[in-house]
Amino acid sequence: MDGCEEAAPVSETGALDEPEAKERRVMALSQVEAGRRVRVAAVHAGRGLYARLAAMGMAPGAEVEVIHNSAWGPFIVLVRGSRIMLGRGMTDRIEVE
Amino acid sequence: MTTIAQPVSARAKTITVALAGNPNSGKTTVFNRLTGARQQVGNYPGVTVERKEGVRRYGAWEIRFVDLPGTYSLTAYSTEEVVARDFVLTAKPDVVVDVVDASNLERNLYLATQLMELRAPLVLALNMSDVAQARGYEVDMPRLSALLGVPIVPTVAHKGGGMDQLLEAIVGVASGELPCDPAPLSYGAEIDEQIDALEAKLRETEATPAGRDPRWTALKLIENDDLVREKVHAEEVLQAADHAIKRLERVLGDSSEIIIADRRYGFISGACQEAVRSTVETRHLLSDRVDAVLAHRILGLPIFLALMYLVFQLTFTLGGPPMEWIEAGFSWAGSQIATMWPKAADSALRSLLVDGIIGGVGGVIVFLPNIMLLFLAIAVLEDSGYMARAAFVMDHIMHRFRLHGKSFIPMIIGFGCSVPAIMATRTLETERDRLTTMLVAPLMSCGARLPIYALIIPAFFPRAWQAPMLWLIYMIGIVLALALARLLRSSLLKGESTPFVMELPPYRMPTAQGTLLHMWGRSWMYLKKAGTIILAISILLWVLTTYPKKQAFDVDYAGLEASATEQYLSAMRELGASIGLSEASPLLVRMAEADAAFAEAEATYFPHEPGYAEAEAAREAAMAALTTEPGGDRLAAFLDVRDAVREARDAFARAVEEQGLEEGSSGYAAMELVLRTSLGEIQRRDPEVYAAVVRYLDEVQAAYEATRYELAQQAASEAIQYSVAGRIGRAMEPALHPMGFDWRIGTALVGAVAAKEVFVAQLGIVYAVGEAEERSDALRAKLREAYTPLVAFCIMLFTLISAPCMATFAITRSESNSWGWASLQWFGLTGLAWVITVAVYQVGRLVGLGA
Repeated sequence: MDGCEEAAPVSETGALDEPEAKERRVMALSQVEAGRRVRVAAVHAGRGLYARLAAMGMAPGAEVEVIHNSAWGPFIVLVRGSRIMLGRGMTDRIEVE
Repeated sequence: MTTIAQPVSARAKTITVALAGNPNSGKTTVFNRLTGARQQVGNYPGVTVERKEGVRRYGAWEIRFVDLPGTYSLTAYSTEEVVARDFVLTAKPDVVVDVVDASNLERNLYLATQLMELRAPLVLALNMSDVAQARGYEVDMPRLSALLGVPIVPTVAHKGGGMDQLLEAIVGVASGELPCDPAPLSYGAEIDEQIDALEAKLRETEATPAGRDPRWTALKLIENDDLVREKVHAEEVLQAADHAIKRLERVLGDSSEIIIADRRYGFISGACQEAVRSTVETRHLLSDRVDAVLAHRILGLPIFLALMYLVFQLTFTLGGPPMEWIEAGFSWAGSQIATMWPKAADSALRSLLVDGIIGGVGGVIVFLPNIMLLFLAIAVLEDSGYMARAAFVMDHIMHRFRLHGKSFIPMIIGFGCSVPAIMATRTLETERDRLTTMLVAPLMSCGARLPIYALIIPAFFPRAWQAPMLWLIYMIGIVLALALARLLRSSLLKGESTPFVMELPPYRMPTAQGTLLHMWGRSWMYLKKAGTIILAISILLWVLTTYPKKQAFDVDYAGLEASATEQYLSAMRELGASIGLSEASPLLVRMAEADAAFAEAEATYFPHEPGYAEAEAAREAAMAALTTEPGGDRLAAFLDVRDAVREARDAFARAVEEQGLEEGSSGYAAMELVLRTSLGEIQRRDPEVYAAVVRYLDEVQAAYEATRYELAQQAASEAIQYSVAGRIGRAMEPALHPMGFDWRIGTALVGAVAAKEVFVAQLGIVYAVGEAEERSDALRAKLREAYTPLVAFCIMLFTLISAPCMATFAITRSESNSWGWASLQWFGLTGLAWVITVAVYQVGRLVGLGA
């Protein structure tokens, strides 16, 4: 279950401005395996939902660690210090890099 | 806990404090710590958002705390956020305390930045600072406080830590002794420039809405906030705002709203970089593994269902005995009050008190054990953090019906009773979900409807069909509830069906104070709000079923009773002859007359009234005189045998009852043998008298009493027909006819509005079989004569779907905060019930089921 290639851990909570040098491949959040860290690139949602996600910390630029991602289990990410559970449909609409 | 040194002066200064914060930040715990049990639960005006208020004395201050709904931000997109924002803007609290989860600082400060934008007098309570420290966060409070420009107090609410310091800071900010000057946020040169320009324009045109800050208004206009736009009545300002938004989008390449959110986070991470040192690596906690199971769509389901079963059992099984005590208490109180008037007096006040008010209030309070236990269970589920996981598990099923995963809980509770079910919708986060769930909850067939099915199903359907029939009725309710929810969500309560996004709170041990306050707050609100409405409706229903009173009956019941008495006496004469009493001294007849005179007195007086004792003495005297007359020995023998037979029979009945013997069991047979032996012994002593006594007990007297009972019931039936309820039943006939119902069912349906189970009792009255419960076999027989199984099914269908009971109506009114939604539910469901029942009846008749 553990991600085979762990991204470099970021030690500072506020380290948002450092660009991830490793990879810049853009994909849907739903494709990210558990244990990997990614950065939110874009959120495709209506204004209300966008605002809600942003308020919960899921705004572009945010660091996200996927904690669970399996077909029948929950999709849980760690973002800005709190665990957030997302519906499947939602995870397809969040682009990460 | 604090001890306040100086006494509170008579003119204590009152300050209002609003408590803001993210969900799961410990805001409610802080609120409970600050206010203790002095809380009031209610609603914000016009919406279904819960409002909690509490008062705390601190030194010379009286502090009124208002608990704002837990929110992540202050946009115009959700009712909760609008409520919180409006409260800060319009009620202008003296201090706003933002409870911030210190272990999750960045995300929590997002709300703080928006409160800073509002220029609210802000105090940050850095809650759970112990957890944050344990996790390796070190917050430089003075530094952070200086960066944000607001006082910061570390608190550990669940242990009560930091509360005095928080109160001190509140009082300090309110009195102006503690400086609070929220730092202005910068959103980057381009946006700042536009805000400046728009602010200037707002000042120049004086278009800033009353009480609003012009800079905040300008910011919100650039964020394209619909609610603020509505309030700005200057076309040129709005045009300028549109222009600025377009320009910014062109320059920055994204919508201004997105950029502003981004800049807020930028400000926060800047502040955190300076003031927070973190040695944290993201850790995989044990709770992550637990979540993998509890929130698993398959593995999580049985766990959830088992817990729901427990909640249901707790609520209704454990709640059963106290409910019975309450019912017993009220019926005792009713009988006590009833005896305050002479029995014969036709007192309207007594009837109002006993049948209307005591019955009505009892009907309210009887739900209290249910509600307390349910909210105890819900508080534990919520506070422990489990509810969020359960919501996820149910979400993919409920989502198909456009309901939230959490809607499942009120719907399950609805099988017990709609009242707590509707109250349980408070756990839902959005108003749309809450209203939808509330409106369809009565379709879950509640416990009070069971007596109706229990009366009808055995009367009309063969044994093999009975269980499937009951199942079918329940299923119809569930299917309709889900279908209706979907319909509502795509019509009246249309809106973006929110994809599932939810914060996972960490697992926590619920605190006793928190759960108990939660439980008590809900129960008290129920009593206060529902109580008043239910009381009013029960009085109304009492009037409907009591008035107008029938003065002259169509049938001469007195005459019929007199002729029944005559028949009885002549039968007694015959019996007397059979034991050798002569025509000249008909002692048995005279005994019967004495008995009848006493029965009359019994109907007129309560045992404590003087008339009762007089009548009793008169009978004694008459009987004593009779035994001294010629033939008195035969009468004495008759009385001896009568008492002996009665005693033997009573002993048998008592034994069967006490030992719970069932007919056909060996114990029952043994008791029967004992009875037969003792009766045989009595018979041997004087076979002639014994035969007369058995005839007296089983035929003559029994027939007389049955006739009198039936006449009384017929009179009651005629009275109810004459009452408004009866007339409504008649008036409804044109509407009832297409469903196969007659006016009798209509009258019973009027009663069902008080409480569904009243339908059975009411039907008993209109069918003149008396209070139906004990004699339901008699009622079943009458129903079988009058209706076909198709009509019987339609009765169940209609009572399932139609008009929720008055308690449900009252609670929907108070929970939705609107007569409109409550009326929509009431009339909507009744209309739906009519359409469906008519369709079923008519189609059923067409295919030949009506025979």
